[in-house]
Amino acid sequence: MSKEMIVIFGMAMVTYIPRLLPFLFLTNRQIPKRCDAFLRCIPPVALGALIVPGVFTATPEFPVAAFLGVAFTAVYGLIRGGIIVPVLGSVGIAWPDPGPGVVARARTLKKEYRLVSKETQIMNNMKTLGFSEYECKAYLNLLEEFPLNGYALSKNSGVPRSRIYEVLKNLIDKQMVFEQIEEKNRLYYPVDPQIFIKKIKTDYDQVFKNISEFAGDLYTEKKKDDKLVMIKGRKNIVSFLNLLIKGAEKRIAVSIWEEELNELADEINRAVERGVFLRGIFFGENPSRKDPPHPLVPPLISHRRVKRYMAEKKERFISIIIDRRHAISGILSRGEQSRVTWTQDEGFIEISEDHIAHDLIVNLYSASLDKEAYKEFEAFSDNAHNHYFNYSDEEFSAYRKMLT
Amino acid sequence: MIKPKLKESVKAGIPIFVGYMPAAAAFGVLAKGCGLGMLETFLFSALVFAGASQFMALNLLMAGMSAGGIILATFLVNFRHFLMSAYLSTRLDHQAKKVVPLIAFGVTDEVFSVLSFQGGRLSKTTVFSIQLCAYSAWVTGTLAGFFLGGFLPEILNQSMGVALYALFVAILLPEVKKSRRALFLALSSGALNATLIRFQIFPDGWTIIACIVIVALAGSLISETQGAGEEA
Repeated sequence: MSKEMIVIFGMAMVTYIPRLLPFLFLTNRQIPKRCDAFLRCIPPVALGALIVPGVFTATPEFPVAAFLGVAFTAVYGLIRGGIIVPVLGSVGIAWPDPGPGVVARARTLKKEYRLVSKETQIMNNMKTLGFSEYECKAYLNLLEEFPLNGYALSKNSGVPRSRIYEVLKNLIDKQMVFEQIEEKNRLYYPVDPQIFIKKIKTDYDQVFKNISEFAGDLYTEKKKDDKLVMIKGRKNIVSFLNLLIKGAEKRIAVSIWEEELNELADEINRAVERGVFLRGIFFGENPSRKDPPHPLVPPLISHRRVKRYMAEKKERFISIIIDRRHAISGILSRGEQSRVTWTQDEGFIEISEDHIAHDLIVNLYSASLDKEAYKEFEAFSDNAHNHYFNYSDEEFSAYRKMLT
Repeated sequence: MIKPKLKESVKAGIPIFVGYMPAAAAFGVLAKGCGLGMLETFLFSALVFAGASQFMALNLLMAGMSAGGIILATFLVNFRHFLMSAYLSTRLDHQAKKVVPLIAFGVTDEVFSVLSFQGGRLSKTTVFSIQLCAYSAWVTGTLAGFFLGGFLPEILNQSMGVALYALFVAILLPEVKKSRRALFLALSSGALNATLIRFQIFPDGWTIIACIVIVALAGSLISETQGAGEEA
C-alpha cells in the first residue's frame, strides 16, 4: 500500500473514532446533571470559536468582502431569521461583482511577477559584476532580514547549508557583509548597498583606466611605421617572409641566398604568376653550371665569386623589400639564432633598395666584361674595397688570394 | 409527518451544500497539484470527510512528513468532534439511536452546527438529510475540483469562503436572540479562541478544544447558579 493510502486510511480511522465514541458511550445512558449542563453549553461555545477569528481571514485578499457578507447575514438574520437567504445573500454581497476581488488578485499577481522578474534581472546584473548565484541570493536575502546566523540565512536564501559559510566568507572578503561574534553566535550584517556599490565603482574605474591606458598604448604603437621589429629564429623568419610575399601586390626586390630562396620559391612563384615584378641578386652556385638552373634565375642576377664573398663575410645575409612598404634585412645563417629586422620606415626601405640596385650594377657590369677586362675590374674593385674598409696588409693579401 | 420534516431538513442542508462545494473543489485542485491520483483524492474526501485536516494532510505530505506524524496531527485537529458528538448523542430520538455508527461518520463542524439548533429530538431523517447534503457536496466538489481544476475561477472560491461563516452566524443568531447566555458563551469563546490563536498557546487543533472545554465548563458552572432564574 502506498504511503498516501496509509495516510488516508489512518486519517479516516482517527477522525471517525472520536466522532463515534461519545455516541457509543453516552447514548442510552443517564447523564449526570453537571455533565449535561456542560454538554448543553457546547453548541454556542463551539460556534463562537468556529466563527472568531476565522471569519476575519475567510477572504484573505479582500477582507472587507467577508466582513460585509457576514454583516449582512447578521443584520438579516436578526431581523427576518432563516438560514438560506442570509447565507446565499452573504455570498452575493461578498461577490457583488467580480471586480474588486479579481482586480485585487490581479494586482497581487502583477506585483509578485514584477518582484520575481526584477530579482532575476538584478541577479543577472550582479553576476556580470562577478558574483556567484549563491552570493547574490545570500546578500539579497540578508538585505531583507538581518542580522542572521548562517543557518537562518541558508534557510531563507535557499543556499545549501554546506555552502553558506563559504559564500559568507566570500561576501566578507568582498566587503559586502560583515560578521559580528556575540558569545558563541556569529551574526551577519549586510553592508549598505550604496557603500559597496561605491566601492565597486571605484575599483572598476581604476580597472577601466588601466585597460584604456595600456590598450591605447598598444594600439597607437602598432600604427607607428617607424618601428623596428626584431624577428628571431630562421623558421619564424621564413614563415613571416612567406606571409609578406603572399600579400605582395606590385614589386618584390631581393638579395638572397640559394638556401633561403628555395624555401620562399613557391610563394614567390605564385606572386610572379599574379603579375608581381621580381628583381634582385641571387647568391648561389653559378646557375649556368647547374642542371636545371634555378627557376628564378633569371630574372634574378647571380652574384659573382660567391665563395670569396662567403670567406670575407662568413654569413648569409638577406634583404627583401616588398611593395616598397616592408623591408626585411638580417642574417639567416645561424639557424634558430638567426635574426632579421622588419621595418616600414621609408629611410630603411630606400637604403635597402639602393643597396640592391648598386650590387646589381656591379654584377651586371662585371658579367659583361671579357676575361682580361674582368681581371682588371676585380683588381680595381679590390682596391676600392681596401680604400673603403682600410684592410691591413695581411688581410688584403689573404683577401686577394681568394681571387678566382 | 415525514415529508415536511424532510423538506425542512434539506432546506437546512442547502447552505452547507453551497459552502462545501467550493471548499471541496479547492481540495480537489490542490490534491491534483500535489500529485495525488483520482482514486486517492476521492478516497480522501469520501473516507476522511473532514475539511481542515485534509488540507493540512496535503501540506504535510508535500513537506515529506511520515504517515504516522500526519495521522497523529489529524487526530489532534479532529478531536474537537469528540465534544460535538458528545453533545449530539444526547439529542437523538429513539430511531436515530440505532444508527449511531452511520451518524457519527458525518459529524463535521457545519453538520453539528445545523443539527444542534434544530428543535426537539433529532430524527434519522433530519440527521441523514443534512449529512447527505454535506457529504454529497464534499465528494462531488472534490471530484469537480480534480477534473475541472483550472476552470474554476479563483473569485468563486474566495466569496464562497464566506458562506460557511455566514452559515455559522445564521445558525447562532436565533439562539443568541433567545438567550443572553448563548450570546455570552459565544462571545467569550470567540474572544478566548482569538486570544489563544494569537499567542499560539496550544498546538494547532488543540486551541479550539481547550477553548470549548474552558468556556463550556465555565458556562455550566454559571448556569447552575444563574440558569434557574433564566429558564423560569
